Amino acid sequence: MTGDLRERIRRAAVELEDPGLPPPAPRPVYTDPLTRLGERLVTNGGEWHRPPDQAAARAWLDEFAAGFASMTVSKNVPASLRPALATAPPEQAELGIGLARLAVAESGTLILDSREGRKSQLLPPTHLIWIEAANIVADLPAALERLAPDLPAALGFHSGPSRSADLGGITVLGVHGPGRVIVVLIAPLEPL
Amino acid sequence: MNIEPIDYRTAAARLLAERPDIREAITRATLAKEDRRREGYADIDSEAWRDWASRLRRHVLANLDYYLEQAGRALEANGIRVHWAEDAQATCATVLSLCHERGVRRVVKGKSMLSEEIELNPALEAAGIEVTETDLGEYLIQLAGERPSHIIGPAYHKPLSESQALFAERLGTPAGAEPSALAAAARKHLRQRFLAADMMITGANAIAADTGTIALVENEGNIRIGTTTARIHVACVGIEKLVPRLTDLGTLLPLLSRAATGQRLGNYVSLISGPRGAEPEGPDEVHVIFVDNGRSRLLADPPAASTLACIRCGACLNACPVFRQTGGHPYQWAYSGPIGAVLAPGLLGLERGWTLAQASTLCGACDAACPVRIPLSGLLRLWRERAAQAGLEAPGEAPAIRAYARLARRPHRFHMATRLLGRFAPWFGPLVPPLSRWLRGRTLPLRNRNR
Amino acid sequence: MHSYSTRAPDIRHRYAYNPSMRICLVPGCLAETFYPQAIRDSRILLEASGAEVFVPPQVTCCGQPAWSNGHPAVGRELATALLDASAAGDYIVLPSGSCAAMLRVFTPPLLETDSPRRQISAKVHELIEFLDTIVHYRPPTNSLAGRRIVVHHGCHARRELAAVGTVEHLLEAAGATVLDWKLAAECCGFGGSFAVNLPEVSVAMADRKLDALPQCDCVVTPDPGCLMQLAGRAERRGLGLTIRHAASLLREAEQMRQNEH
Repeated sequence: MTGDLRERIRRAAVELEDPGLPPPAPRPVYTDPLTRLGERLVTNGGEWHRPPDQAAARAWLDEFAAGFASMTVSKNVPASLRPALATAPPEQAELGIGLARLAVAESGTLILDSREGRKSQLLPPTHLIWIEAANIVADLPAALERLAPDLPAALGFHSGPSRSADLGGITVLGVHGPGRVIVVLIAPLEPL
Repeated sequence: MNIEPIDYRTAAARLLAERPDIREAITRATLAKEDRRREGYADIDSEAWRDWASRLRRHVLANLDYYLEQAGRALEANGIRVHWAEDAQATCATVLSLCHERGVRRVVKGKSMLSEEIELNPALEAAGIEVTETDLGEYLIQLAGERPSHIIGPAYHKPLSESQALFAERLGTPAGAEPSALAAAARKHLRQRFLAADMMITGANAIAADTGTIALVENEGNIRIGTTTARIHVACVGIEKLVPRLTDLGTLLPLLSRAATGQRLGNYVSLISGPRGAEPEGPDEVHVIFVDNGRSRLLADPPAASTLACIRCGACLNACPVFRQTGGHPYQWAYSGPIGAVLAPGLLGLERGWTLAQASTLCGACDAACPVRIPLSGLLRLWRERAAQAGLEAPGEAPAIRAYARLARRPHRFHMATRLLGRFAPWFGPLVPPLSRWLRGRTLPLRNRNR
Repeated sequence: MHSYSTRAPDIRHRYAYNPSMRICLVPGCLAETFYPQAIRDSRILLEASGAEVFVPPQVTCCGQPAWSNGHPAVGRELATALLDASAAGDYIVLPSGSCAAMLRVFTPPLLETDSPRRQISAKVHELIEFLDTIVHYRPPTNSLAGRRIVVHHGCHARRELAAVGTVEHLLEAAGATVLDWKLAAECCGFGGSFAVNLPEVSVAMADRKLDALPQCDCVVTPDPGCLMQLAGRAERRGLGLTIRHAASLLREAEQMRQNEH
């Protein structure tokens, strides 16, 4: 900051009343964040699956992936959660698959880390996101507290499909990012 | 130097006479968003959240020098280059020199009102750089050669038929194509622009001073994509847009989203804390340009400084019954509605901006909507007062008020005058302003009619 | 000169009253100029509460036009003069939400912190709110039975005085049906000098309100400014709507009781 600007701002700011930092704003308490996450995600236009066990998740995946010709997969997704599909660059793949770092129940949000690669989160028209039950938190401040010690270059908070109402006020999906977002809950994974 | 004030009235009157379809589109969009905001406020303790946000933002303003220094250090520590720009010209010059030094030919942009304020696009285009707006509404506006008419929805004023015609002409979509088909055509076209872009330019919804993190909220994913594919990301940010802590975003961004569109959170949030470094994808360089452009002067004006608490949600525009008739174009600069009307004299100067403070009934709908409790109607009144002190008023207003006050000090004459006025106004009204202006479109009551 | 005198029969036994109460009725400029009948109607309703009602001849304008247009010194001068002239009342009542808000809410910040006028300001009420919540006036049951009515509150009454519900309450007590109005909370476009400085936008705002009206027998408002705006526009458009001051409709209901006697 130039000394001149700093001095101008300092002189101005000191004249203003400082109410101090506020204590946290009150939030509703969610007894069942897992169910809440699913509900909110669906409200936002996403899809939500909660297979009973790993085998069911795998069976669901194979059936789901049959509708696609190609995929791009984040390096964080273990082999057990990769379907048998041809891989393609994110620019061409029909399906992107990733693993969320955290999810936020109150807003139906999946938090994606840029270290898994960003393009697979954004460029394919369909995005499948795995989320471990242990990584679901109730609200956004709690999520940010957990994220703060280890911030990547970019975190993406995805709460549903890409949408716009800029054309005559009519909602359209898949404007730039994925038009279809599928989130699947899984049991804790073994560390890679 | 003689500065022409913004003539909202003439522009508004023309729009109402010539473009009733724009009025319809704006009314429909703003009423819908106003309903959504109410729903969004309804499932939180919105009063407490608004108190929280109001206090947070005022605390930041009262310590702005401290948080700017802290943010500057934290951003740099993250490998983000920080620049400071005094005004619009300096900001554009900074962007241009980055472009020249790094051989940038193609720029994509995320929606940024600050870039409208500093008129960045014309500056880049004049230097031969291709600029593509990527927010769908903003892209539409760029194709049409217009300016955004709303902080959040740049194309709220555009009837669908106009968008269809524009896309047919520019992107070759079939006449009368469905919105989904138009969006698909835009997606295809803009995807190529993203992949070919050298630089992505965005604003910022906030910067967390403690971690040096840039927060961007959107619904389409264009900002996420642009800040992934371009090799350089430049964020132009007003100096006031800080929050002390990353965790503050956990309440501020949901409140912003609720106020703007009723969403619990915008569908995409980017928290950017550096260039890609060793990561597989993302920009090699990230730059933040902190822009003053009149803000420090407004900060030094305690009665009006709370204007800088604004988080640009557009809720006051949606709530404003005046804005609802005309949209933002008659305000004739980047910011419109109540916040635009109090920012105009603050940032553009009283002589240019005072007229916008008249474009309000002081109904207070904006005060009730603002998520950070900016006392908008009080500020509108403040600027009216300052305008009056500077001799800037609607023609004949000061003498009229003086004459009225003189009369009101003499009760006997006052009661006589009301009686005469009430009885005869309908007859002589057409000849005498301001009654003649009242009679444009309205009748005067007949005093003796027994109601 | 203007006493707005009435001759109401004694019906005080019908509801709560305090016979020693003195009510200062302040007409307000717009009602005084264009709707004197609304002031007479207000007086009838107030006298029905059993109190003594007086209209001090010295009261003129509440100062709002000057205050809201950037002349706070003039606004303060007129507001304080009005408060002084009304000080003898136990309550100060105005058939105008906007003027009441000026005197009760907007004036105190213009006064010295220890000004005795703050106490006078605290006695100010909008007429219908006063009738409903202070003296618990109730119109005769079924006096408006079968009437389908839409209510418009001025913005200051709505926001600064939280008066929403008062008119509705009294109308429903009289057996009327109060209809929903999608744009009930929206400003009518009056705004004092706004109406003449930006007439095109002002008229467009009134049109929005009028176009969203449900089928009804009558629109009422306790604000003369809004009344002038909505009625003036409706008449110019030839909409054939009946738009009245709330006091006038309630007086009509009250008349039915008086006719019984």
